[in-house]
Amino acid sequence: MNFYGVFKGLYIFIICIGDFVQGTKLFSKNDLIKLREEVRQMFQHAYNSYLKYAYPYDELRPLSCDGIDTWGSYSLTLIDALDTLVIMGNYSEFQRVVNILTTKENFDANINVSVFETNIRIIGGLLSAHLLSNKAGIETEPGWPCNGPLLRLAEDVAKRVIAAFDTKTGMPYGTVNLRHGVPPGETTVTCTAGIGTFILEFGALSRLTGDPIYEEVALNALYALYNHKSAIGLYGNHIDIATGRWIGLDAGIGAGVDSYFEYLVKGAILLQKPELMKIFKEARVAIDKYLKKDDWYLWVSMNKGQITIPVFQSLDAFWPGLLSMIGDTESAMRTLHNYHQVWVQYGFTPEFYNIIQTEAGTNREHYPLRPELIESIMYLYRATGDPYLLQMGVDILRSIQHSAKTPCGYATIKDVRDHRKEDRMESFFLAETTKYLYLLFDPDNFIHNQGQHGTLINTPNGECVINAGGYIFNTEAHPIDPSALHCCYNMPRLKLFNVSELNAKSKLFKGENRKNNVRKKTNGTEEAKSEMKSQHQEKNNQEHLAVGQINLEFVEGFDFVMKNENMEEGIIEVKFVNESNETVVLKEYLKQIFYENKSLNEGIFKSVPEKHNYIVNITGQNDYSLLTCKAQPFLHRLAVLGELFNGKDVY
Amino acid sequence: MGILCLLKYVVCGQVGMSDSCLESNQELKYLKVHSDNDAAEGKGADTDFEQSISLERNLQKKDKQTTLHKWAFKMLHIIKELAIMLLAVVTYAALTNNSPKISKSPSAFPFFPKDSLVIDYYKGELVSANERAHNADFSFVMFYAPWSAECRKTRDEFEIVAKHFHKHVEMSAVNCWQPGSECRRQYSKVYNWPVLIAYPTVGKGIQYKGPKAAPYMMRFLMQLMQPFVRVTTTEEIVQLMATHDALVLGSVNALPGSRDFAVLYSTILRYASQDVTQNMAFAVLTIPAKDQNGNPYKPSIFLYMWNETLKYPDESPWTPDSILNWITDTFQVNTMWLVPPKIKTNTLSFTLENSPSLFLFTPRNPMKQSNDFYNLLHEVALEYNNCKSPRMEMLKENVAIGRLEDYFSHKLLLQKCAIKKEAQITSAITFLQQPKWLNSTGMKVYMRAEESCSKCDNIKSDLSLLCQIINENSCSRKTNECIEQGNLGEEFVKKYETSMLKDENDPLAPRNLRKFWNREMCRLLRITEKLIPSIYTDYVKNNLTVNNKIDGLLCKTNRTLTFYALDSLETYYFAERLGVNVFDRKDKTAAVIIDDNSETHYVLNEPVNDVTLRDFIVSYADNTLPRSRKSITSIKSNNTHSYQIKTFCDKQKEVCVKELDSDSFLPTIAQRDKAVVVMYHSKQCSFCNGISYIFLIVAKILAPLEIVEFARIDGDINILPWEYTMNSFPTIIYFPDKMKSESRTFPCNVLPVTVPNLLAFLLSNFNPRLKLHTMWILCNQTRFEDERNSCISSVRSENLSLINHTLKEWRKADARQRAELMYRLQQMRNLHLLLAHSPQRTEDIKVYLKRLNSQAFNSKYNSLFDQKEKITKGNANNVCNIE
Repeated sequence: MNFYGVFKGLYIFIICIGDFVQGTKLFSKNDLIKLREEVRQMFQHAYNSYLKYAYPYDELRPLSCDGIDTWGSYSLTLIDALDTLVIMGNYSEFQRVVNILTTKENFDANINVSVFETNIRIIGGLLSAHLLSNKAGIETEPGWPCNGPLLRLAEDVAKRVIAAFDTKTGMPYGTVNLRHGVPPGETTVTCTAGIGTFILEFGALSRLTGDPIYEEVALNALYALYNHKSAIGLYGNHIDIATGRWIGLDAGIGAGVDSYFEYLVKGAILLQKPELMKIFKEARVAIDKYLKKDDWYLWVSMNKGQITIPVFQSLDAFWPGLLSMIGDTESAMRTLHNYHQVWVQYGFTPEFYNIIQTEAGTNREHYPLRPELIESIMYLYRATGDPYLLQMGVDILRSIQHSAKTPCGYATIKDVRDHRKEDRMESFFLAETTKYLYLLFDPDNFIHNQGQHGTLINTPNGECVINAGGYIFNTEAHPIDPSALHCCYNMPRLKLFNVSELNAKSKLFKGENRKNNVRKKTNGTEEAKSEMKSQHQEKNNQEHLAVGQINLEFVEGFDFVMKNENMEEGIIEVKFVNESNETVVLKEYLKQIFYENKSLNEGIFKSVPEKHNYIVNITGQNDYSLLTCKAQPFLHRLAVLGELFNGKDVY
Repeated sequence: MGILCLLKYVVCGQVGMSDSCLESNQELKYLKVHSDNDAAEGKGADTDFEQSISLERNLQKKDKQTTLHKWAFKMLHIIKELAIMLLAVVTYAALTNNSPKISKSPSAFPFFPKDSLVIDYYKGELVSANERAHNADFSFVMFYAPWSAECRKTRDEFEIVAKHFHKHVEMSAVNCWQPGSECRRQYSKVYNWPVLIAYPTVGKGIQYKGPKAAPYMMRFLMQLMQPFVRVTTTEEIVQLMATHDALVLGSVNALPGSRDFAVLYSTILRYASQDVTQNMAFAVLTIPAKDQNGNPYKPSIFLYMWNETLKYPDESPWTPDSILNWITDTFQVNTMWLVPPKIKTNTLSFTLENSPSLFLFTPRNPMKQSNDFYNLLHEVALEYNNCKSPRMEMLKENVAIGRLEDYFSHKLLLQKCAIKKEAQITSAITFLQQPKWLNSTGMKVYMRAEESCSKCDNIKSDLSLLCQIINENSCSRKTNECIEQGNLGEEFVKKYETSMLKDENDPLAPRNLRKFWNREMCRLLRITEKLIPSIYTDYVKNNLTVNNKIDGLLCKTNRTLTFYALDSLETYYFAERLGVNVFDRKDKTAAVIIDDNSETHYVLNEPVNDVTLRDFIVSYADNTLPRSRKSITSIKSNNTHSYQIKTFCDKQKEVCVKELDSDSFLPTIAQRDKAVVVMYHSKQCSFCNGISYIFLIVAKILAPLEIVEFARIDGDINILPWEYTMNSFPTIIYFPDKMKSESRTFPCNVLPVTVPNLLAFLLSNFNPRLKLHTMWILCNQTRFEDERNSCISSVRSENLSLINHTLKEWRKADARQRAELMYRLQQMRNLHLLLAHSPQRTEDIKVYLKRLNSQAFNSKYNSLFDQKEKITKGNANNVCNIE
């Protein structure tokens, strides 16, 4: 032991006088404004470069400073980035682009496109631009929001891709030709997300235009998928849509599956369909049982449930955001902390991250500027106001600014370990990543409206309330206003009250005494706690029972109607009705639209097979309690800055 | 491009002869360049080419000695053709499959500003950084990644540390992420940037794991430089116990070369690495190596805690790991600083889910050892937990005395440091006790007692006050001694010249060291005062008397209460969540009791001091504290951001509803003349946003009903009386205008929230007159003539049944009520006639409907009602009290 050295340590017990900050201020309003403006500049840099170097190609190549067509030749980035302009308040540019787009009559082109990508990026982008055009000061047609050039364009695209749904199982093909329908010899293997990611756009389209076919095919595909879940309630990642045989047997929440779960929840909220929530909750039970380990979600075999690939995927990161929507903030934060840990290790999240070796997966080290993590952060910040989440947002912003920026745009990170760049900027960087970052740092953005106020507009359907908040983002971050759907779909059917019904169901409408709903105060004794626990368990068991009761019928025909509404018991019997003159058969529908539209080749629909469609008979389909959240436990108000509570009453 | 290279490689490998390969490469290049229209693509191909050429040159060397030359030469022609064919394929592949261009890693740039005091090895030069660190006595190194936001934040804090420590601690930073750099090669796997490591002259580096704020980092460095104190008497141990939460006392032989001491020393350093936030003292008692008989003494460690003293088991090995584990496992405190690490953690959950806890939010200066508010908490906690144990009695008294001493010594130090002339300071300095370890590691000068003596004359009055309060004999003895010794200062110093050089210029001479020491004390004081001014409770300042009801409350009430202090400057966010803005509080200090079992928290509203804090705890134990309804919505915070509520609403273009909070909730729903419809929502539940437009639409439809008010409240954030706390969201509740207890909940479980359902719910619960009015409003909003007609006829029949009902009532009523009912009947008659014959006269109908529902006209009725209401209200109040 060298005493001299230590003694020197004493000797240098010196401090000079300096300036100090009084305590740590986390993020003041001004800090947020600065960050927000930085994100805006980030967007502008990439957007301007796209216009300058790449338009009218699909995507910008940020290293070569030119453009390239990737998903189709429809100026993808331009359409995808459109609503980000509105969210950032750049209305003039939005108007300019809309004027360019509306000169386009249709999306007729002899190209093969991904049904999934076209739906979420093009249809989603056009829909949200349509719904936001009033906000952005565009002179809308009379009849808006149920009518408009962008909506017509979106419908045109939907008509072109709907051919993919013409299959035995009702699950769509992965690829479609915009002019000729499904290409001959097209593979019948589609990923799970490619089947279950339509309900938001198609549901919105049906409700805005009044044509029910879109919502029907999308729901049908969802139910078909539900029918194919494994015995233990899991879904694989690829399925043969012709035979219904699973091809990819690994079950996870990431690539190939992710937006299926997302759309179940968001679809339930947007269309107020408890049955979708039921499907989700059931899937969640299996996911939490088999996939969840230490707040990570691994990949397991869908039939047995044993772990196959212990990786975290960059795409998994949407999950915490989804949980935050249904009130399970606790689990969401736990998982988000894990994902954020990967981010701070590399500065980006690699496509695959091996949880056991704690390193990026081999050959999956890239980061294509994905938005999932920041998406979850934005949702959770909105829910909790936890400044830690702002810090996470800054982490993301700094990394991208430091390593992904190029003279003409922002580039995909080729390898998160050394931050080499690749010559690609996917359109979701402008559509999602920058949008979510901006929204995180702009808490006063109109998108964050919680429904306390709305705008009144006069439509042929009567006076509508729109922009009342509660926007549902599709998986490409295109917001859909639920109140606009209501305006076009429910308003024309709206019967304000019906005296006979009122009298008949007066007991039901009378509601419950408030005291029944009041939260039971725990009296703190161990007895009470254990009682609560057992209640909780009991409830779980009941839930399992309920799950068991659900069964699907495989029936022929297309449409279904609801009969025998039994409100008291909340049971709806769904029966197959073979009334061909009343229900629109997809085949007929397709023929019809393809005849109307000369740019579409009807020849390919000559051999439309007989359809088999799935009808869901879910006990408690009218169980609207599925569309509510439990109140947060008392201590959770302190769950900020990384603090977590176990919670007594969490799901 | 990958395929291209591979194919070429195969071609060349097969040929095994460089010449032909190069030749074919030339061709390939020619082909490639000419066939490629894309300039950038061609460029990319060229670079790849050069790479492949160099690859082949390597191959050439390897194959030089092979004897395949001749064979290959014969095959040249065939292979050439083959190669060209292959190349054509490859080129095609390259053209169709646009292989992406890839850029290099970002290049290194200086991370710290040019004029920084931190030496920045931004290219990751680990070797030179290491060299420099080892040449310095003590160095503090930050390993960073340039892209990390956390590093950028820490950089600023690190610079503040450098500003104050750079003269004596080598402050440097290494970019340890830069790909290909020395540092990256050495440390390829880092999970969290930055990594902060302090390197003492000898031994391993010690990682800093505390909060990344300058004051905490400086505390860490100070602790490393002065890791323990040497004690010689029991008095000192007691004193240390009073000022710290716990004390680790090692009694070892500390002669140079002692292994036992080395182990203890490294244990202490490692403890500092683990936890710099706690208020733990380390002390060393030196013992001779061997006893009188020549047997070696065994080293031992004692852990002094508030309730007991434990000895490190003799049979356990004398290693840093084992000692450290023992300390962390057995360590127990009755108060502690909670330092939330701001990462995924259960720190608060551990404390709050087990038992009710008192949180004292107070500014902490990590560089200062004692904090009066914390000591107050310590004292109170000892009192609360004191079940007549003499140990605690003694400790409690010591803490109380320690607080006073601390206050006076602080005051003295302030006075002293205000005097600029150094000579004066030196002359005033004397030592009360023998200066210890002047030439060794553990020097710790007790500022308190010594300094209080140093300027005896000036502060005699203060000291006498101190003595009065403490009422201890030793004090007066000390004071006298001090004054005596003050006069004999020179002589006193001479005693200590034995081991030191006499030279005045020797900086390590006691006199110079003392001078130096005093200068540093003052500097330190100025910094800490500037950083976070010391605050003292009113008690020590004004000598308040306190009640002692709190003594032994634990045994009297059997209610466990744990005590924690939190740095309000760092953790004000938690206080905000409980509805306390610490920046508005006196001394930025606040006290909150959180009881998870009853899902309740209590806030001390008065400024925290000895009296109020004790009263607060006593009334908590008596169950007389009111439950706090404060939450984050109750305060104005600059650091919490959420969507702003629209208060002004243009009724022509917009529709808004009132947003309530815990303060405005009760007054709103309790309005006697208004029916209120409240939607409970939660930001944590998207189902609420998903249907809130329905609520707005209904509010808009029923806007002509002045008597009905629509409002919303966030039921998760706001704390409401128990009977208004809901179990799930969204929940819609109708509070009628008079019978408030008759409130009803919309059946969210069985009915979807739609406009017709919500209207039906309200119609079913409105009183008949209000229902009539509502129906009329709805009729006016129908779009088609036949719909309207049927609607109006239903209003008519409703009106008739109401008339019928009122007539029955009239028969039973007394004279006073009859007048009232008669008035109503008149309105209804008029309504009936209008509805039957001229429903287009909407204005007239509106007038009658308004009269029917207006409040003014049933004033008499009201007075009658008052009595009833009072009774129900009284009952309601009773319910509240019970809960």
